Amino acid sequence: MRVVRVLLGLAAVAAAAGCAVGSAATTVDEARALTAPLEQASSAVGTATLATELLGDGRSIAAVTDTALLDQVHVLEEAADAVATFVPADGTGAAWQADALTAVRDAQLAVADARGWANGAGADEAAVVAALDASATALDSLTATLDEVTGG
Amino acid sequence: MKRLLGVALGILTAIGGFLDIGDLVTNAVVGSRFGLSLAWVVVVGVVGICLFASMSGRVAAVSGRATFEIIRERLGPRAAGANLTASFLINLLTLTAEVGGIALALQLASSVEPRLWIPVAALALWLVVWRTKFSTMENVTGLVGLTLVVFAVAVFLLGPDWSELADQAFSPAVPAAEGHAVYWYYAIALFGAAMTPYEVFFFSSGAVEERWTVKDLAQSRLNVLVGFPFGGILSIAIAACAAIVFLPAGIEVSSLSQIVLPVALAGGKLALAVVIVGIVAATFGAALETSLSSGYTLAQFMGWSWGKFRRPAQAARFHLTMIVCILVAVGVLMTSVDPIKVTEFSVVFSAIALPLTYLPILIVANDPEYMGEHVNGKVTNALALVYLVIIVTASVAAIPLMIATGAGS
Repeated sequence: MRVVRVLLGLAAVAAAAGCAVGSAATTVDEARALTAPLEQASSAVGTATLATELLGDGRSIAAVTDTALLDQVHVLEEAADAVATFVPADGTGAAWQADALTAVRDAQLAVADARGWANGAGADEAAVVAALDASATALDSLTATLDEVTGG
Repeated sequence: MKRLLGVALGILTAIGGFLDIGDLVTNAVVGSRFGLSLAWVVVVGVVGICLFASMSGRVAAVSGRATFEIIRERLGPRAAGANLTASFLINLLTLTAEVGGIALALQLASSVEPRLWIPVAALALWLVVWRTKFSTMENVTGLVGLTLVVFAVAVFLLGPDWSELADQAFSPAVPAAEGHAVYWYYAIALFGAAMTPYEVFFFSSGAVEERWTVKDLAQSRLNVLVGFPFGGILSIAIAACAAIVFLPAGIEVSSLSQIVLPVALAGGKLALAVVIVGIVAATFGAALETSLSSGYTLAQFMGWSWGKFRRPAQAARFHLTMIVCILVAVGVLMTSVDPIKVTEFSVVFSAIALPLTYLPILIVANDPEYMGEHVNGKVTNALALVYLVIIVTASVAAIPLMIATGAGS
């Protein structure tokens, strides 16, 4: 009985150690962990671009575009949180994390600008769409780099 | 002529009343991630809901009593209690999702924060449940909900690659970016959305409210067998809109505001206005149905006086149950929980509770004491048994898949 208890205790300690911060994640694991929030951010920027263009073309109303952009602000918050709380194992992971943070924060800025435009403030439509496109390109480029590592 | 108009009205309200927030969200999410490769699940779900809704409608028409009254009498308080607990909790979760859906739809029209709309939506809901006649309530929300046909129109206006859509639908495959577990998790969610238990309780209690008899069986069958499949086509149209616009762009649907964008792209402001009206009507209609279903299930189990055909003072506990459920839904939503997440969980938990809802209906529909010559035929029973296997499999697999996939993320 005592042996069983000791074994159970050791198993619990091993499990807890496995959950500890700074686990020995491989480069592939790190790339995979950062890809998900980047894809989430790309999806948010894609939606924001569509909502903005629809309003610009007179095919949508300001309330719908504003709501769509607000929802994407929340999606980007989640993505930024996931990237910011990621713990890199080495210098490569830390560099990817910094690039990902920059890309997601740029996306947040572009979507916030688009929302300002939709509500009658800020730059013109062309500048807002250009910023969203640039943000989408940066996110896609980083995702492609990480996909090369994961083989995805 | 009057009879023909009645049949047409019944079918149209069945189509318009088929969609709710669960169908809207789940189909759009699935369309954006899997294209039409899960359209077959909608077909399976629609056949299932047609089978069991017509069965429970027949039970009500033949016996003159609603499903839950008979389930308790036939299976005893313990088995019926398990059925009640599962159905009531799922119904409450669905009601919460629907009220949240109304608030989100009104936000689309106004830009006003949904938490400000939630009490307004709940008050309107209660006023309609309290004051409006059953048939008026059902017909108005069903007919206005028909405007969601704009999703089907949008599919044509978007000018998709039809062969690609057909390929996705008829040769379903798991997309490379998604795993098998996620695919099956969403298959169960779609199945749960199509076969939501409240639809059956509402249908059976509605038959008693409208005083159906054996003479109305043909009309009841027509409403279900024509109306629900057309509702299923609208579900597939929602998924198709998302598959055409979002899937190629790598956009994942996570909010109601995204669901209307393909319609705006296809038809401009007019189509956008129509789809918003349709979503408000669909969610409001479903919120009415789930509010009433909460009152129906509890009152029928407890043997309380119930029904919209009675004045509220004559069915006080029935009305009190609905008021409490609406208040609970408002309380949950005011915590700032995301109504879309509530919806996603409600459809999966619906799938989990399906055996507890549908097995008792099958037992009662086979009991000659209640049904006389109108018991299930061999073909109906064979099909129902196949569905029981599917329902039990979906129910058992739902939670493990939810854990394994992180709720489909």
